[in-house]
Amino acid sequence: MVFNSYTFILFFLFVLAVYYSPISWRNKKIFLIFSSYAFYAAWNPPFVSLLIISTLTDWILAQRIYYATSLNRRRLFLVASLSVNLGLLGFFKYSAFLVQSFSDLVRPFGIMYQAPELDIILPVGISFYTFQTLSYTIDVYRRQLKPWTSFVDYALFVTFFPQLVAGPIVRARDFLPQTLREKVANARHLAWGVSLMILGLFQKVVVADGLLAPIVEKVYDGTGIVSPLAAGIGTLAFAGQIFCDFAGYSTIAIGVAMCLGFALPDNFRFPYAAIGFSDFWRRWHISLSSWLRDYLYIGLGGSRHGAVKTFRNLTVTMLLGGLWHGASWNFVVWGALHGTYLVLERIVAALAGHWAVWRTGAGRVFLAAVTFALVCFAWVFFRANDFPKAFEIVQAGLFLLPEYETFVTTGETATVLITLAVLVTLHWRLRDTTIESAAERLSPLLRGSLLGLMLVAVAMSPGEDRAFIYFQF
Amino acid sequence: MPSFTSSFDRAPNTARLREVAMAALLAALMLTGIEAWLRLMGGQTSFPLSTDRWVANLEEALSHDDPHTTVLLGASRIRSSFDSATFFGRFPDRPLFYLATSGESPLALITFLAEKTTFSGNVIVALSAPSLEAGQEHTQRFIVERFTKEWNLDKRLNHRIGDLVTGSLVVRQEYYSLANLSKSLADDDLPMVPYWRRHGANGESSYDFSRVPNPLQGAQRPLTQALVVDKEAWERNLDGLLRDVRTLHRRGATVALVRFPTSSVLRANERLTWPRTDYWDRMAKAEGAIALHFEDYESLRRFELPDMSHVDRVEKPRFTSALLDLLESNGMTWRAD
Repeated sequence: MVFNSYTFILFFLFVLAVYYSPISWRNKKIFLIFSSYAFYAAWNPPFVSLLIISTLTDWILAQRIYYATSLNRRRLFLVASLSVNLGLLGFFKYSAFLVQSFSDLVRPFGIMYQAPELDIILPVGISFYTFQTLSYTIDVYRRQLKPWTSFVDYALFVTFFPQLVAGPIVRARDFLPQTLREKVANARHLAWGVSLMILGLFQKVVVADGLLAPIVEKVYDGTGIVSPLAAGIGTLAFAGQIFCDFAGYSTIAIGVAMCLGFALPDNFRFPYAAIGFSDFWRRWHISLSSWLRDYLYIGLGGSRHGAVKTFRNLTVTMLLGGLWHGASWNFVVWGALHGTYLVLERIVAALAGHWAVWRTGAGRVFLAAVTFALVCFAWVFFRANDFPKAFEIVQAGLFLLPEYETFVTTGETATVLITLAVLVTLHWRLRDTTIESAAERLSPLLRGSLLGLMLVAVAMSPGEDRAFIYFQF
Repeated sequence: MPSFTSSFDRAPNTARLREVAMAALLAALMLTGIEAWLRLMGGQTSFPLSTDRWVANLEEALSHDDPHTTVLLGASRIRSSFDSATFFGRFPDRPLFYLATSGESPLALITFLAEKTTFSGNVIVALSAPSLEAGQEHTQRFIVERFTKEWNLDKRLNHRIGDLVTGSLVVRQEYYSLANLSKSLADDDLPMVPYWRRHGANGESSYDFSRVPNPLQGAQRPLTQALVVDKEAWERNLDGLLRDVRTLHRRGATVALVRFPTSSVLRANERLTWPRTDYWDRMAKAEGAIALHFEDYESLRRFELPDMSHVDRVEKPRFTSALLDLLESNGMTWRAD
């Protein structure tokens, strides 16, 4: 079930009605678990079993890890947890990719291995809930968390529908304490929760799907060679689309959870105003980047063992972060580019970070512009369906292709430029603040009017229902 | 203490439910006003030609065990020329389903019907030589993919509710969407009110060319030399088509391959690149298929095509009637034995 659907509106109204009926807190939590299973089953009922397997496995293994009498046994149970979770993820997400890559790898050596066509359906959200449950067992292994005593609470942590299929990725130590006492949203939280839902829908339905997606698809999915302008406009459009799509989803998820009285972590903080790539990753998909930092980068040694190992750790973390997004070399390249950016940033910062010019307004704008341009360059590999298309877009953007077949109209160009200008300006103006403090500065009348206009825009943006981009990850 | 920051803790102290109520009221008032204005200007409801529409139609077509169930495959020509009212006027109880997306070849759907289903009703396919060009075998695969992998109760229900809303509100018509309006304004292509193309909930289209100032704007120009055709791919797709038609025919289905009318420069260009003897006549030899080329029948040839490719809505009933006559006389049946 997707948030931008009529069925979700009905589903959510039903959930709210039951949730706020006079039943016990334990029954409310059980009701939320079954609602979450229904939410997930609406997409593909058999895959609910994966959620159940993931829930039971980590529930049992976390207990075993905590109460194991020796370090070796703790490690053994942790490896078992990692094997089950990453095994499921690997089978559903990476098996076809690995088989095909193997075939491609051995071909230059004269070994003709015809990869079988594996028609495996990827369970929606598997990357998200796998990371979520893994964080629980790893935290228990690290003695940062005791195994939770209530299975109902734990099952709710794994399945909680607002963030089940596309995050934000929530840590057990952040979510589970919220289940101890009955959660009831007050009027302030209900109002702000609904406001976030409207804002998120506006981002997704109006900006990402309505204004930008058709232009992105024309440039990236068409067969004709694109013109330099089309390459640039298509890539800018994708930069806007992916932000509004994913941030839109996160905003709705946070709003839905808030209406139920739960707090979910921030996932975006005006990333297109980032100054540098470390800053970008503190603002983009925060729940994933902080997960990778805490469970992978620091696990690899972080920045504790000198520059070379730090660079290696950064690169490995970003490569795996890229691969987390999808089973394709395009995502690996995207991750590698961001790894390279982070390494280069550290080198440049060591050499020229003390220059006063970077602290001036012009210097900051320059750095932000460079960051944005390089982030957009990396998006080319993220969005293109394959390498040839990515290289075609890059070559077209650099005026290296002699003939073009796909062009963008004046209207499309204006739509993208105006949308991106508004988006980047908003990010820049709000970069050191929050959407809440910005909203606080507006009068209630103006806030209500803006929300009303967003609702009108959503209603006036019909068309093909597009799933959220991050559902595929 | 949580390790994260959350909007929950920062929710504005001044946020109140009356803001949300005010937003809803404002939106309702504005939408009512826009809806009234569009209707006063002659705007009418129209349904989006979404993937879900074709998938819902496909599902329903396959659920019928009536051997006279008819599916229409192809693209905009058959969708805008085949009048369901005329069909139902003649065969009131026979199920009819439109499976004709825009500008795409029906090869993938024919293959799906032949290989993956037990469908044995009537299949009317709008086809031309370009429909078999390289890559065309994939163009309607998105319908098959959605149907086999993603179609479920949620999507079915959502599609139905969506149609209820779209069928009631002009403001939900894609043509009047903000995205379309913004592009039209910037491209100096201001939207016409009312729109000249309407799509029904069944996927049928009606083109009202009387509302189009210049239907030939952007139309093809005469070619000086034939386009390059990937003959190997074309032959491969022809083999696939012949195989699928044979499979359907042997299962008891009646397949009709129909070359819908084109005219003027478009027809001349088609003749140049795809001479009939080299292309259509070979397609027409499909075992067990009824093959009708519009040029062979005065009753199909006589229609004026304002954009060289589509029949005007006024002509639809007459065109459909003529086509049904030809199909019946060639063996397609909708009457009980």
